Amino acid sequence: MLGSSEQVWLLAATAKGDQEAFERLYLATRGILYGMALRLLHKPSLAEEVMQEAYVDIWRRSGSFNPRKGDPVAWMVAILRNLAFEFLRERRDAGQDGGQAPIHVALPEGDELADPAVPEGFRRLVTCLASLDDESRRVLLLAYCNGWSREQLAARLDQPVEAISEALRDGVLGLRGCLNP
Amino acid sequence: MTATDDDKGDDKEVLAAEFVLGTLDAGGRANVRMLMAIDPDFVAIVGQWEQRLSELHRLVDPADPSPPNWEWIKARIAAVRPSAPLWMPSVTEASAVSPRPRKPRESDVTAALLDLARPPQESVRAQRAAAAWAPRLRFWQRLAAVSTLLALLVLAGALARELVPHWLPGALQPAPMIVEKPVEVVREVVHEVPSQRFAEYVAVFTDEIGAPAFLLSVDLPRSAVSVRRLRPQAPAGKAYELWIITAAGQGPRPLGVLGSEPFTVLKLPQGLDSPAVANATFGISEEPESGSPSGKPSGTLSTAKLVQTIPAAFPNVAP
Repeated sequence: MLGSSEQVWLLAATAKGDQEAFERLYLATRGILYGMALRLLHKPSLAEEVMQEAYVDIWRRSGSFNPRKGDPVAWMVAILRNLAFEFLRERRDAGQDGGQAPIHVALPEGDELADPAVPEGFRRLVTCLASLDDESRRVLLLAYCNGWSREQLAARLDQPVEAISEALRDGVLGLRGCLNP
Repeated sequence: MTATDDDKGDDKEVLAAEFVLGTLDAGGRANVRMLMAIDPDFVAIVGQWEQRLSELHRLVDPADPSPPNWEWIKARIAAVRPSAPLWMPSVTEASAVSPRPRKPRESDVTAALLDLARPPQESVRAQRAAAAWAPRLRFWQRLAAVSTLLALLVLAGALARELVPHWLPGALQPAPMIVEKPVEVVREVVHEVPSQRFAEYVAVFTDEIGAPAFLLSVDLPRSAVSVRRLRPQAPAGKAYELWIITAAGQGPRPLGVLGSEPFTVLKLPQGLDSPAVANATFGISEEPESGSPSGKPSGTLSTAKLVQTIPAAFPNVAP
């Protein structure tokens, strides 16, 4: 895995039209992007289509990446997720049911989290998520990892949509308070 | 700040976070994109949530795509130039992004990749040159910002003079027209004339960097839409096609291909009433010149919802 600063260099070179740099960036990040696409879209054919679209977008928009506002993987993952949600929410032919996605997402804890190889940002986010109430933590994780809409969360967790919206709201505001005290 | 301001701020935070989490439906996502097109502060809030939540990608197992994927991507980018850089590194950033010492626990493969990724020396020169440009760039950015602000102020003033002149300070109110009148007193008769203007609806389509790319406006009485193209022409052999999605569960319906002129006027499908049009989602996709062969959008569909820009009834305006 390349460090963030190397990825910034590769993106800057990509913005100048350097295809080799872009290929290196692809090789270093394809696992993350394809894994995310597959998790959200389930069908490999659809996941590959969305991932390809995301990399074309990353190539085109590489000049608008601003390292002051975040790291490259965050930026690239956001591009992929936006495209995946366009498929999921706006194209009715895309898989909607969420398939066999797990209904629990476990957070690393204890020794696993104390490992010095765990990036600081991830440790902080996990610690903040762990401090939320169970319901808020659950809906935030299921939404992010499975890509479920409020309605899908309500159906899968057998709760009214209003309760899901409230848990999401509490979770979002709690997380902001914890991350930016 | 009052409690209501706090609530509004919180609503924005929650909306931005839900957009990033993916819990919003198509309408909610279109509204967020609309908000992003007109509110740079909101764009920043969305960016913050993308950043805050991105570390969660570590909870999702990576997976390797099959090798032909790269060939497909390479073929697709061959005809596209990346957009010009929008940011200029400052001198401090140039040092901040220089390669860090390699950590010993990284595998040989990673080390090889790191070597490949190490920037060539000339990039450092390029960064310095860019840093030298930064003050000039900042000057032009400031100038642009000030000009935009002035233009907005003039526009707001002009609108206020037209619509609510009594809100303006005396000096800015439009001067009453001087009309020569005969000496005898003429009784003024005022006729109430109802406004002939219809409520107007527009939708803004933005490009990948959030700049407006197409403006769509709907003429409900004529059952037509007009699209103003703001971005450059479609690539050679391609055209932009307009779609409408009117009800959940229904796919996008094609409205027609946008021409090469700045404006394209297209008819809306028959049988759509005004509320259905006002609540519809519109989409634009890149297609072959003759339109999508399958009757469905072939590429990514960029979508937008209508917003009403002029109230259905104007408040009474003093003559």
